Amino acid sequence: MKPEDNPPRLIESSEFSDVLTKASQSQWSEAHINERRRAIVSGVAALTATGVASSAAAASSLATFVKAGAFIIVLGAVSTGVYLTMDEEPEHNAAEIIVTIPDAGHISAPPIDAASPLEIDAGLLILEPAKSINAEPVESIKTKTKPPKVTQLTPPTEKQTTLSAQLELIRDAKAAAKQSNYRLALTKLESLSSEDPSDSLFMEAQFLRLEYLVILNRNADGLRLVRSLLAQPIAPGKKAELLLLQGDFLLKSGNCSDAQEAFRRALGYGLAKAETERARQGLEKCAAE
Amino acid sequence: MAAAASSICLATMTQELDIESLYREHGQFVVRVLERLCGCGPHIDDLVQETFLAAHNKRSTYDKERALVTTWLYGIAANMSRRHLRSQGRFGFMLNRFEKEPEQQVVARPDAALEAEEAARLVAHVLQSLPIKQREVFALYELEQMDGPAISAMLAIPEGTVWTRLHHGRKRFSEVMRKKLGSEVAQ
Repeated sequence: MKPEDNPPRLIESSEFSDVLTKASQSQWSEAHINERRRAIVSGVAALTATGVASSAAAASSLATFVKAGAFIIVLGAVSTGVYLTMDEEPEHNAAEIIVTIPDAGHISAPPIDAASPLEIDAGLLILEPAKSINAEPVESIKTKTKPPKVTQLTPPTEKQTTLSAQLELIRDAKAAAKQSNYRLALTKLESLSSEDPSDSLFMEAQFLRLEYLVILNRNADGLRLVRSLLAQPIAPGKKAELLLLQGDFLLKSGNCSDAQEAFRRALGYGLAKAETERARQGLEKCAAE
Repeated sequence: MAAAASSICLATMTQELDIESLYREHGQFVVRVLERLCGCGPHIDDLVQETFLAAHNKRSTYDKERALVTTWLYGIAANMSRRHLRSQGRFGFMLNRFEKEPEQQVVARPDAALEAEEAARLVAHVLQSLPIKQREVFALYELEQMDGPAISAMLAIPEGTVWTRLHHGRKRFSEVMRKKLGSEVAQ
């Protein structure tokens, strides 16, 4: 096959022309496209809302980060200067080292050769603050002393903010489900799927997702979600419930042998009375088939 | 100040790339790509949605000077497909067995559309027997009818590689399709 010219396509061959032409003409119906469009639009709206909130949080933490970063850079430059000076012969009349601390004035150290021999130990330069570092102005030393412990009201942490956002999403999803808008509910809950699995809200959100997938008859998606949840480190009680759901999904799809296995495993993990009965009924249905 | 700047930036980007109109224009293309790479089924609905939501998230990375919007969308859809195929591999054989029996959607459709859908299902099923790299090139060349240089640009591979993958892909596709069509005729 020559790279410079396009070879004749299989769609033009007599053997596969029919099937490939039909396959290339296949497309979603207008109703299907519109249905998915609505889901995408609501998903984008949810993302935009959470995105604006997170960018504001990022902007507020940026200022703190820049302050800390500037201080680290100054410290890094000073320590590099110290090591470079140690590798070389100590110069007379070397420049003073000035450490600038934001909001605390500046501290100046004497030239390197002013350090006494006792202060150089095993190749490390030890500067004793009281002896060899002269702080100017005097107030800046005072800032180094440990401040008295003051109990302050801490502002709400990021974790709490996330938690409230999660709760709001779950509330919105439930409200959408009440109005039979299960797709919107699913979209809202899907944004919670990236949360920490050990979070209590994570499992609640996932069980709600499963419930809505069952209602929408999306068995393949439901089964996929169950399997992904079973792979997470979760409590045995929840695992039993998930296995029961897995059995239901498999039974619905006619995969009886795997459904039986799932029901048996669910019973093995321990279920409540009503759920045990459901698992037994599932096993009976499988046996009948 | 920074928050205001970010919101201005967000507003500008939204004006540049409206996901809804993008979906209206290229939704069918993304559906076709996903069906060919991952096979037909209910998972395509989710993958289409995930693709466009990812496009919304990454809209700031799109540079219209550098690539066509279809190329950019294809990249996202192909990544979604790979992720889906990997997760499917993790789920193991049980999930595969479950998905081997696709649900029959009871929808009143004209014969031609129904035939096209059946053909698409058959082709997508046969395409699953090809390695993903060959599948990509085969679908773009044979079904999307793109030419070699365009595929090379879209997949960011040399044109020679396009022809090599196409050659092997066609060989495998023909073998499997012949078997499939033969068995259908026999039935």
